[in-house]
Amino acid sequence: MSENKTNQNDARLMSFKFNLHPILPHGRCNGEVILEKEKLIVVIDEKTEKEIKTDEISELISELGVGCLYISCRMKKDDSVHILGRADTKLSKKAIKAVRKMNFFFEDGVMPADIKETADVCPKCGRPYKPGSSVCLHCVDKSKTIKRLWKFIKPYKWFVFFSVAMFFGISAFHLLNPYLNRIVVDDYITSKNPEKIDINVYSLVIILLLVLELVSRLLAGLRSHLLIYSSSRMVIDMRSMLFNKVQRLSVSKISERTAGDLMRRIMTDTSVVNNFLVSYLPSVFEQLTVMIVVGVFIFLYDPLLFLFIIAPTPIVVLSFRLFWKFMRTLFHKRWEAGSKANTTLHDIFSGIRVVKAYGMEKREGERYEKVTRNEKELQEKTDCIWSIIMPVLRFMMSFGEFIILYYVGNKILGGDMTLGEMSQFSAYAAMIYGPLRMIAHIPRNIMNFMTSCTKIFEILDEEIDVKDVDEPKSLEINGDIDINNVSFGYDSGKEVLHKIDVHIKKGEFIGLVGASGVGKSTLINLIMRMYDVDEGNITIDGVDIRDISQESLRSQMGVVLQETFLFSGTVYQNIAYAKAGATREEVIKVSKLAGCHSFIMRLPDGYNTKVGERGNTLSGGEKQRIAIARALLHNPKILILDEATASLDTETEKQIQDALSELSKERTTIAIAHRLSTLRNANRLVVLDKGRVAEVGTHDELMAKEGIYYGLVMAQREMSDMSSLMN
Amino acid sequence: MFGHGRPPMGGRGPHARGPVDTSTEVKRIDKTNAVFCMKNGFLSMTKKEENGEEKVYDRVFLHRAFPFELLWEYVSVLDSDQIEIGIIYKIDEFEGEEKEILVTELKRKYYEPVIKTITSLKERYGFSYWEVVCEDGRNVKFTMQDTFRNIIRVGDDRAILLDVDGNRFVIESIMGLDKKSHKKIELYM
Repeated sequence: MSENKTNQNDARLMSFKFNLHPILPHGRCNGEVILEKEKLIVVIDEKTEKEIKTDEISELISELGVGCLYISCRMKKDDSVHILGRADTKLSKKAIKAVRKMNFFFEDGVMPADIKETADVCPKCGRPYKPGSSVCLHCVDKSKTIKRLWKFIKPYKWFVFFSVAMFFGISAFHLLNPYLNRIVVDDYITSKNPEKIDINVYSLVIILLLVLELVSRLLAGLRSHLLIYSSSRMVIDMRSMLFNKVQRLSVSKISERTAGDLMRRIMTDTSVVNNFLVSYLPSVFEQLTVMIVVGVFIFLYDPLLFLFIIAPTPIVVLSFRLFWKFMRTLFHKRWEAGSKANTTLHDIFSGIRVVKAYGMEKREGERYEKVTRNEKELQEKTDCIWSIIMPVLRFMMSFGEFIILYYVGNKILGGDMTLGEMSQFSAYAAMIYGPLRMIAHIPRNIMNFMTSCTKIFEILDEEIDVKDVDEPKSLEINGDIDINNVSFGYDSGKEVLHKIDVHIKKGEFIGLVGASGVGKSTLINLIMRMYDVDEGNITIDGVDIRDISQESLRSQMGVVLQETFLFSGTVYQNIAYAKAGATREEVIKVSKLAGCHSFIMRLPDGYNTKVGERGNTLSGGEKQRIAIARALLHNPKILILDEATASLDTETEKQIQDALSELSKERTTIAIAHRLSTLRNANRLVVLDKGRVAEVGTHDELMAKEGIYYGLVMAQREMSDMSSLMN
Repeated sequence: MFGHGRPPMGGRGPHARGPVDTSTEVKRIDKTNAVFCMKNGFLSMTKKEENGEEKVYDRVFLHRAFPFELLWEYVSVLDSDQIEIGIIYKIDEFEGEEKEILVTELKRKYYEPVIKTITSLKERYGFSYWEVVCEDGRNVKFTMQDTFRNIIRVGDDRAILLDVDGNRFVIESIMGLDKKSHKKIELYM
């Protein structure tokens, strides 16, 4: 039996698991698809359900259901599709990748090299990583994290050291203060021999108190200045380091996280870590030290008094924690209600034109009132509970003070203690209660700090997936591009491009054509090396782009996208962005070529016109022409046009076309366009279908072929005839 | 930088992009013009066309128009290119084995285990960790991120939970949960 099993394992090329029964809707199972050289075996609950000869299989198919994945196979004989199994989404990513890999085998008869894989769960605890992360927040070595933080503190260690030292100075004064007060009360104010009082000494003690107060205030001011100085610099260091790291990551790594998430890490998490390290941690350390010193002092003076002071502490700390847990739920709900009210308001205001056009003001008013009423009710509830429980907790805290008063009062009446001593120990007791209240919140603050730390290190530790080789070439690009048998798939999905083989000569204008989702943009991303290919290679002038430095490669490529992005700033700044130190004359020249000079000059502020966050003050066509001027100024050797005219009307498109033909002169140009008329200047057209090159040729050749391209042209002509009839 | 992100997982499934449905007419599918059966483990349909001819679709896909609210109504029937052939207004219009096939197919496509009891719910580092007992008696552990946003309330009493892997879990009746489970989930309701 075991020998059989070994033999089975030897024959196995690869396998993957599934956990849902192929037919029974909610039937769980232990399923496995095993690929051997001769056959594909489907095992369900240790029983072989299917055995199919591999030479009969055309391909395996993975299809998404909702919350599950179907795995099936297509037969060569009759093109029929047969279900093999299903997997819930936990297993589906692995299954998709395995299906992709097995399909290489069905096509070529050999297993491909490993396709890059990323883990989704922590191998140690099994918990999922946060999206876009490869660090488990639970298993990360916390001590290592703290050690690494030292790197940030190190340049400012003396500032932190002096601030802590100053605190101890201030605290020493604070400890001295009650002692001197006791002398004032006992030896002078309530002195039993007033006639023996030396008024000069009394005045000196008062002056000493004044000086101590003044020095401690000055030290506190200086300390706060030191903290602000070191803290602001440290936060800038952290942010710069994070920002630079993000800039070096590939587009795929960056797009795994939302812009908001990255901004939160760079802005908020750095602040949390910084505040903790520079303010909170020293403060906890200082307060606890003072608490221990004062505690020991009181204990040595009167152990019973010490006991009375700390007696209510455990109850109060525990109550605080329990109360916090309860309140957290309410605060959470209140926060959500507030957020919902804000979202509703934002929604209504954003769509106010629609609201008014449909006369829905009353309905929207009611909708907003409903959410605000909910928020108000939760607010009242939390405030009410807060106002009841907090005084109780405070009373419990002050309860110890009453016991002390009773105990100390008795001692005074019995003559065992003086009034001055009472005031001294009351002041010391207050010094103990302050830190005690803080203790209750320490775990929460540490947790917040650790979370933020881990999020920061997640970015810093992120492996740069598209990186330069050790000695990258700095190539003066000529413009020959060879795409050699390139296959590529994104991490989460199946193959997008399959064995693409296209050779582009210097100065050629290539049009990429195909339906949505066939992989046109992906191919362009690969040429720009936004991602690395899985198989095959791309060369420019015979050099693999992985051997060329990314800076050198991209600095010689120009891109015009469908969605033009204009930075906040002036029109001039946006055009000059492409070339550091561009003169005004150069900017005007390229604007003329791009056909945007005339409309810029019609603007009251000319080239100094401010454009909004996304160039909102300009029309789509105007923005696009500015983008073309920017690309012209860049003077790239390779030009990429990704649906550059898709969102424009026909008239504007014609104008842009002229600008684009100016731009594509004497440089290798690759253009994607749904509107096929845009590609009329192309030397050759490459038609992609289902991730493969389906047709290559000139417009006339492809039309004569009556294939996919012909179909697309005919469909567009039909649409265009229809719209001209309608007009 | 590029708006064109990664394609949806799988590619060929119902979420894949492909030929565009250009028809403007809603075509109703009911027991008078369609017969469903299973073929190679997939749903197949024979449809009587308006001209009286019968067309066999070896494989059709079902897709709920209102997957949160109406589970057995307004179900779109799509061909292998994901072009809509028509809409079943009510699954109940079919009877016997045919109805059973349609119900099974929908349950198979929409894999949404029903939660009966919540045994543990802990929140840490922005994740919530759930341990639940499902309708079929299985103990299931799953993790949710941004829990408030990923619990979709349907009406007053039903909720759909989306976990980090994209799994869906259903609570048929929030009020019907036992007291302990209800207390655990209360924060999010």
